Amino acid sequence: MRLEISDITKTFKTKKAVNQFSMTIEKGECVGLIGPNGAGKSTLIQIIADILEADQGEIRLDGKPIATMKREIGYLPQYPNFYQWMTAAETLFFMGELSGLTKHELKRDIPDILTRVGLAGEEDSKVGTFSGGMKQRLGIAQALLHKPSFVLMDEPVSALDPIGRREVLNLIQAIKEETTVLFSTHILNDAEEICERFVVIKSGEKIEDTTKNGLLNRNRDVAIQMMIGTGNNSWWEHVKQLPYVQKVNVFGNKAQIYVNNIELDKNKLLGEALQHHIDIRNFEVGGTETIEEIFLDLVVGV
Amino acid sequence: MNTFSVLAKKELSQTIREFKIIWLPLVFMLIGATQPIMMYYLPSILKMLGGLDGITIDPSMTQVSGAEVMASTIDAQFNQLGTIILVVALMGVIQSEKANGMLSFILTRPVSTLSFVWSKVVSQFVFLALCLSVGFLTSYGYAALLFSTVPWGELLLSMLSYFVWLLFVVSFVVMVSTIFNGQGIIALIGIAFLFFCTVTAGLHPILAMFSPAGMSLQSVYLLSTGTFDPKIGWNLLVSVLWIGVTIGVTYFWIAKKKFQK
Amino acid sequence: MQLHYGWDDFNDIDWMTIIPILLPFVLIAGLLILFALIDLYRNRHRRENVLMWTLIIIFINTIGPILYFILGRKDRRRT
Repeated sequence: MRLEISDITKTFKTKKAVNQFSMTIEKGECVGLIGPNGAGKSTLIQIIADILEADQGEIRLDGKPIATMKREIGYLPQYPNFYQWMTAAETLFFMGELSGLTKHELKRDIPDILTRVGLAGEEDSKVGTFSGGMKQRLGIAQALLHKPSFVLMDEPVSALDPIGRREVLNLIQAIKEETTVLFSTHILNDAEEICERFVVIKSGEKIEDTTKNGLLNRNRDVAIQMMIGTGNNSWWEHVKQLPYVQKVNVFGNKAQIYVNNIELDKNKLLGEALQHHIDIRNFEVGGTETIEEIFLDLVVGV
Repeated sequence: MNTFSVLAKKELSQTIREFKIIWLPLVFMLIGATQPIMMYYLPSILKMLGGLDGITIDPSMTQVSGAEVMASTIDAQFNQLGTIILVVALMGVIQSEKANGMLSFILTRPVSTLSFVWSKVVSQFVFLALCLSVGFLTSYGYAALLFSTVPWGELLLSMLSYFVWLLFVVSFVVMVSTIFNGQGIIALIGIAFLFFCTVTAGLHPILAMFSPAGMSLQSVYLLSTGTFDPKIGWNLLVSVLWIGVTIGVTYFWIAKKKFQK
Repeated sequence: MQLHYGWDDFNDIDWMTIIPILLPFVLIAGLLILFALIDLYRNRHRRENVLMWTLIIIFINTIGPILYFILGRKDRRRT
């Protein structure tokens, strides 16, 4: 199971939604597709799911065109919606039969899967009365029912309230143990929590393809995060004068201090602060930025 | 079980759940009964209203045959109110699947576009043909009761030829429902074009040759004269072509995923 | 021309011949209304504009129930 996306381009009227996007997903990977709203995430996912036709490029699963491999794909749209008049169990039965499952298999599997997504007891409720979170969970059940080897999820948690979001995130955690998962989100924390690999998309183009550690390490600048008690702000002026300090970014009683050699200079700086009887609240060496900030830099910055 | 039968089965259970299976036949019963009853009472109503001033009623007018009554049932009821109801009952057939996202959903499954389109057209056609049959039979019953009996063969043939037109109605509305996204606009285009077809076909024989409504005209012709118009082979061919084109467009539209916004 | 009709004219109508012909017709129309009302009543907690639909079904002849079946059978969402 290996998904190859090569050179996908899709234009809507004048707007290029996806531009020459390529990536490969290996078996068992969990990939978060991150990007701001309107970056082309949904378009790309829909092209992979073979709902939209790309202007250019192709998607191959195990070397075969995706259109012939639909049996292997589970897809969860951004706003899953079903026939209002069907019950939850009927919906799964219908989708399962379309996937080529037998009645026998479906009778056996549907109660299990409904329990798994937390919809046990709602088998015979009409989908028309379901809340957004319930539909999302039914959508996940539907995507997993035929045991696909590759699961695609378009913004699975964005529309949910905090409780629903937590439930669905836990579900995805469990799913990724069994199958390859690609999901899109504009909320970085969700991707960070579940996935090891991130692909950042902006204006339809891939601008970053990295792992969580890779992202943190690369941006691990030689910087010290320092926080002091209020009323000591003249201290920052003093720090700026120190010979081994390159740059100080002050935010009130917090600052980022860039030094020449982090290993040697951090202790000098700490010593300096102790000498001046500075009320140190926090003194930390490490990544200057959280993943959130790196993400913002990537997406908003140059 | 192949995907065609899964989809067709879903269409059937939808007509049951939405009670279409009850109300549509009832509506067509009403439509089928209206014309014979109206024609039966028309002379007495006219007489009552006309009163003593005496609008002279052509005696031949009261001597209509059951077959002619059925012909005017098709002409004045099925082709008018009946068509509107058919279009309204059909307008959501693909549009609602687009609106609720099920069309995309279904197409992420191993379902061929062909079996999707066929399941829609075939199941809707079979169901609506049954509803229309109920209407035809009601009209037949009233015509026999109030006027004269229509030969079974004539009834059957006129129904069959009208069903060719019905198949066009179904495939045309399915096409419009695939292309457009609003129920209002679908109903408007559907009703306007289908009326246009029937009206123009009735205006001139040449127009009738190229109209998909040729077969509905044949059905009226058969009931009023007792035989089909000799051009029936040609009408059938043209109708089949129209049906082929509309289904082809629908197929293309879905296969090329043009329904996505 | 006579424009107003009194009871006498009403009685002139031969009801015995009319009833067998019109009865099935009225019955079917009534059945349609009945089905619409039953469906509306059974789902009254899940529907919006119940009163409006009740009036439409009863007062707009034949078309009312059809409108209800096509447009009025949408469930309210659970929140």
